Amino acid sequence: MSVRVGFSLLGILLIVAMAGALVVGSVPVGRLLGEAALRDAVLWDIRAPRVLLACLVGGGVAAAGAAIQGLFRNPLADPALIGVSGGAALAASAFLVLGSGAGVTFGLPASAFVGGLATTYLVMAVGRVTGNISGMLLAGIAVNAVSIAGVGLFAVIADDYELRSVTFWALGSFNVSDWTSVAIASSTLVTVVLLYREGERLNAMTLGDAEAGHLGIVVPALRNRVIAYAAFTVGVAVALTGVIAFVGLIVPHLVRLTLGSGHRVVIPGSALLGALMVLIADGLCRTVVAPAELPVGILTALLGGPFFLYLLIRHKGKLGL
Amino acid sequence: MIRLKDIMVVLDGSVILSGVHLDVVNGEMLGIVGPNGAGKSTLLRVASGELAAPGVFLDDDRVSDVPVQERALRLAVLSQSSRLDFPFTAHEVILMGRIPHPSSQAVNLQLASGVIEELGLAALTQRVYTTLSGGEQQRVQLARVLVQIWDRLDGAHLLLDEPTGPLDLKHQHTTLGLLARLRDRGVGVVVILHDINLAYRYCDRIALMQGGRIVAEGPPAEALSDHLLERVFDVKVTTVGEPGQRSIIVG
Repeated sequence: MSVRVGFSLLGILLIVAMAGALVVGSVPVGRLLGEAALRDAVLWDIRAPRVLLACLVGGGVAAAGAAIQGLFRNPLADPALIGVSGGAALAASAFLVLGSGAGVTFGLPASAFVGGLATTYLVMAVGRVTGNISGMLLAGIAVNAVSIAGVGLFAVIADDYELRSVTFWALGSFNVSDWTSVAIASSTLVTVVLLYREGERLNAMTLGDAEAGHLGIVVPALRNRVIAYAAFTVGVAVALTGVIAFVGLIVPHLVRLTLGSGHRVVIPGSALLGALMVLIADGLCRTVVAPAELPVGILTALLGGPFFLYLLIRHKGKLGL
Repeated sequence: MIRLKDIMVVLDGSVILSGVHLDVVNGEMLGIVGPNGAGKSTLLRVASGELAAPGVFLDDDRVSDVPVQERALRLAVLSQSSRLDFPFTAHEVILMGRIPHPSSQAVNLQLASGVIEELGLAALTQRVYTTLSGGEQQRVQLARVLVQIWDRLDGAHLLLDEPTGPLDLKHQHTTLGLLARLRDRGVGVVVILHDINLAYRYCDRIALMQGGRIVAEGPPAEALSDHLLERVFDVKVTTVGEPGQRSIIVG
């Protein structure tokens, strides 16, 4: 598929899906059209921010996943696997429980960013000691487990208002979307654009650190920038909606399979497709068991887990395990 | 030119290179020959600036003082094994050689098609790199490295670590023949070769290495003499043919 056709198709599908997501829900469209007050409350206060938040978070996490896979030259790298998501969730829950409750608008995403960044560097340091990617991925799993356990501990000592629930962080949910969340999440548009601008250099990185150096890339500086942008993007997403599994892993692969591997295509393509997929996943989550709701992470994990297994089998020779 | 002055490299407590002096001028093709573990690849990594060592100069500048962006404009390097696990097309991989340059996409495409034609890669360009054979991948990587300096051959340098390793007989000769033509157009070529006969036939000068040192340096007939090869490689060799057209047979 040509890149232009693919992007146009994704754009149209995204717009259609956004319109569809505004329409579906527990309050039928007929009533919304009839009652102006209800329409404002449901469409403007509940559904519109939720739709936008799903797009921003899904797009951001998928774009960050694409960049991280390129940076680590590993098609199996994922923001959750290398510890960004867990670290961000831990720091965000620590902020909510231990903090005074003031400055949430900036404090929450900032602490999630710092947490994501710190765990990523920890995982990378372990990866450097072991000297291979498997060591790094295993370190990521360990750090992730500790982070989620830490979130659980905070949940136990917190009252419900401070920390909604462990499942919120571990499985992800959009059920508390509001316009403040949308405003915070829109900051990730900036980091996604910054990641896009590193596209050529990320292409060079896929050849290897030394090769990238011979192509004029200052590798340590590039690594620091990409990790900072990705940690910010994922950190903000996790702080607002919890960990939505597998989006950062699967979406870039689907884009590579259909549109090509250049990061100038994969990063924006992943942003569009990630937005689309998370939007659809959230739409399903709030309709299949209506009026109750599934955490969106359950659905993405149910679909993403088997795909991950497929990747493991398909790429077994490239894992170095 | 590339100048190495009294290079010493110690990695993890073992001496990899010591007392290495070497000059490579533009318009010259230098072959590096030696047994496994002699320090050939390390020498190339030092010369390219990848491995920091004092005493390495690129056109009178200390290589460590040349910003990597600028170095990439006049020095292209083909490493021994480059792994690429992403499904780029061969054409996309070749175009990566233009990343250091501010040239327009139109110019880049034109340069790439010149290299593709030169290396006979036209049939491979739309194939996915990860599905190519080892030899085909190597030729694509070589094309990527060549396209990096294709518009500024005079004054550029090419460092290649065993470029002919996975290549078949025909492509070994076409590759080295192409390197020789680039040398004629002003490129300084440094190439690590395991095939003594290829080194003998195509290189202007040979540096024979053993145990981290250059044990002989000079024209192929001198640096690849039967006596030296027997000493360095610990094998019996026989030379057949007239001087200039000689072939070296092991055993």
